[in-house]
Amino acid sequence: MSSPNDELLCRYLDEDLPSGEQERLQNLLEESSEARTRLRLFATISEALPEFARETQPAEPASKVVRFPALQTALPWVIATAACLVALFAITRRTSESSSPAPPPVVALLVDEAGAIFREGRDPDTVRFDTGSYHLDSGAIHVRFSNGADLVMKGPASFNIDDAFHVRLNHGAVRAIVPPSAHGFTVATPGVDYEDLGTEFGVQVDEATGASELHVFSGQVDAKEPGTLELLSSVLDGESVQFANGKLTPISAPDGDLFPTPGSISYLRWKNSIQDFADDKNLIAYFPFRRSDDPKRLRNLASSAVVSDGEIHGARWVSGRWPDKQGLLFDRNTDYVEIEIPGEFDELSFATWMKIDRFDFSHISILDSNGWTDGDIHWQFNRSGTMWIATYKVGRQVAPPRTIIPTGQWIHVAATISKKSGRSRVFLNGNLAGAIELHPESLIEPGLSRIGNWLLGDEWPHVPIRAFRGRMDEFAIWNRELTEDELRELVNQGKPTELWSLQPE
Amino acid sequence: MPDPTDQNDSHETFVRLLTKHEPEVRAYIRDSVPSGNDVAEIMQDASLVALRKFGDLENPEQDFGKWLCVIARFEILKFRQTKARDRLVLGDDLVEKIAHEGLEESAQRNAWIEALEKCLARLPESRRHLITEAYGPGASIKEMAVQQQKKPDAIYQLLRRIRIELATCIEGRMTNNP
Repeated sequence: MSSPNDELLCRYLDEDLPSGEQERLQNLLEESSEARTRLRLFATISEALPEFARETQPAEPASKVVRFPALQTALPWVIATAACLVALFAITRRTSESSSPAPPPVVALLVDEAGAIFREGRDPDTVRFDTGSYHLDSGAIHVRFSNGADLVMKGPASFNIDDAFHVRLNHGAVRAIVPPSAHGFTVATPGVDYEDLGTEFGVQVDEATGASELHVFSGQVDAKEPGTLELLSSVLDGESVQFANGKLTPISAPDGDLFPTPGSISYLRWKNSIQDFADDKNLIAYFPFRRSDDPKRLRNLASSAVVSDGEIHGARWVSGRWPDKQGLLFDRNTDYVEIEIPGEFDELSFATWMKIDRFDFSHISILDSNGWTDGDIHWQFNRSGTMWIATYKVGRQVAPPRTIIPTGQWIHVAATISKKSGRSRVFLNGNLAGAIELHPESLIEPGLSRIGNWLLGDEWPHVPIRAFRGRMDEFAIWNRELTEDELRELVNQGKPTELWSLQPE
Repeated sequence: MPDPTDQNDSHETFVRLLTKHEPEVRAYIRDSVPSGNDVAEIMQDASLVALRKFGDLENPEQDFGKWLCVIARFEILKFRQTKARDRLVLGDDLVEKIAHEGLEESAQRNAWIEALEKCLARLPESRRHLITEAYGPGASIKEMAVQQQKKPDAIYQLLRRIRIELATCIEGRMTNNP
């Protein structure tokens, strides 16, 4: 369906926005996720049409067979790049400088952060780091330099960026991950410079004494005397040294938590988000999957908990999305977590992070009421990877599931069910993956339910097994219908890494 | 001593993956940068960064497209903060939101591009011809306007209508072809 805003979106992409329309466009896109998706669709079309036109130019010789969309724009320079990267850079810089006043080059950018608080006057310009002095009071940051070097650190830390190859660490601890393009990247500390030779390493400087420690996780780092650059020592893979009182001495391996990794920032972001999350009044169950004193109990940490704690049957404690995060592994037919969701509801939403190992059965349970009578709900997927949530009285499918949920990677799945809106919906990574119109007399009263299985044996001896095979490390239930935007925000807060995404296969 | 053929293999892999993913990544960049010329520049910068960091990518066959989009996202920010500062239409937060959401749409973008091909094939010949003329290399809407004895605005208007039709056709295909 075309919409009255299509014209506006197209004119924006044509750089032909009528004066006075800028604000309307900004408001439209801020308020409507549909409009943003529509903009991205038009952007895709606008970007692909020149390729189409180029390919179908009548003057072109007919012998060339190239699958649409052909790629004749980028390849020549990519090949040139491999041959003479440096020369090409020089040319690019010159042409861009001649057409506009030279902007100061960006030295480094903030790639990712979790709860980062900088000291006033010693903070980056939004995500941009120029040369200068910085002070991170708390939180964690991941900074990428223009040469490709990455620095990851937790506050408190104080450092100066002299240029893309030279950082002075006044105090704090940083992890440096240095690709070949940034060889020579140096972290200077009081009394000694640590110069990278293609590696990953950590440097820590004591605030009071200025004494430093170097830990080489991989590769080689040279410790040099500042000024003379005289080589004091080459430190290799797995080695650690300390510089104090003018002397360099070998020491033992560091405390693992001292040097955050890029992935640990995502973990920290998730941890920071938990408290606000648990305080949501509509949140009736929140299982962050933290092992407690009782390993058979899955604690519900929601401030307004209505749902019981979970009883763990069989499922074992393993690692979750991050090395330090716990989760449960379900890999036997008898593994499940049982919870009680008491009462009758008008609306419910469920969300969980999971990693599926295999589709072993025709139906696989994410959360199933123990029975299948009026009031019960079943949230499941099938062997071909499509997902749905249904009440006992089956309604009409309105948006057939076309999204296949993948195995072998962490995914966020959610389900909403609402008598008010008359629909139930499922989402994969914040995107709608299917919808069912509820039967007008649907009753939502889940009662005793199992995560990762449907009840076995006892009362219903002949039911097929619906055991989930894989890991889960977070599960939440709300007594209202969550919106797509809210679900996307949850996905954003909990994604395993900044690079994480749903793979198409 | 590293085997020099390793580097050649890796370079070939890089070029192959870039070739495969370029249309999708260009489309991703265009989400945040309205001008086609700017897209080309950002794509070039992003690919150079990608080439330098390619060795760090653990699972290139699986992650290349998304990885390049993540790199492009930083190049977009950099570009907006330097070269495009005086002609920004949308606010930083909004563009960041658009780029962030687009990052998760890789499969969808590829599906759109595939559907576009089919929708183009279904356009009347005259409209397809107009697109070829208007978007082809060295095209000039002004010249086209003179030739067709129309006002340039009328041609722009028609091109917008065709794109809206294409968008409607693509969305139709998305709904009907699960």
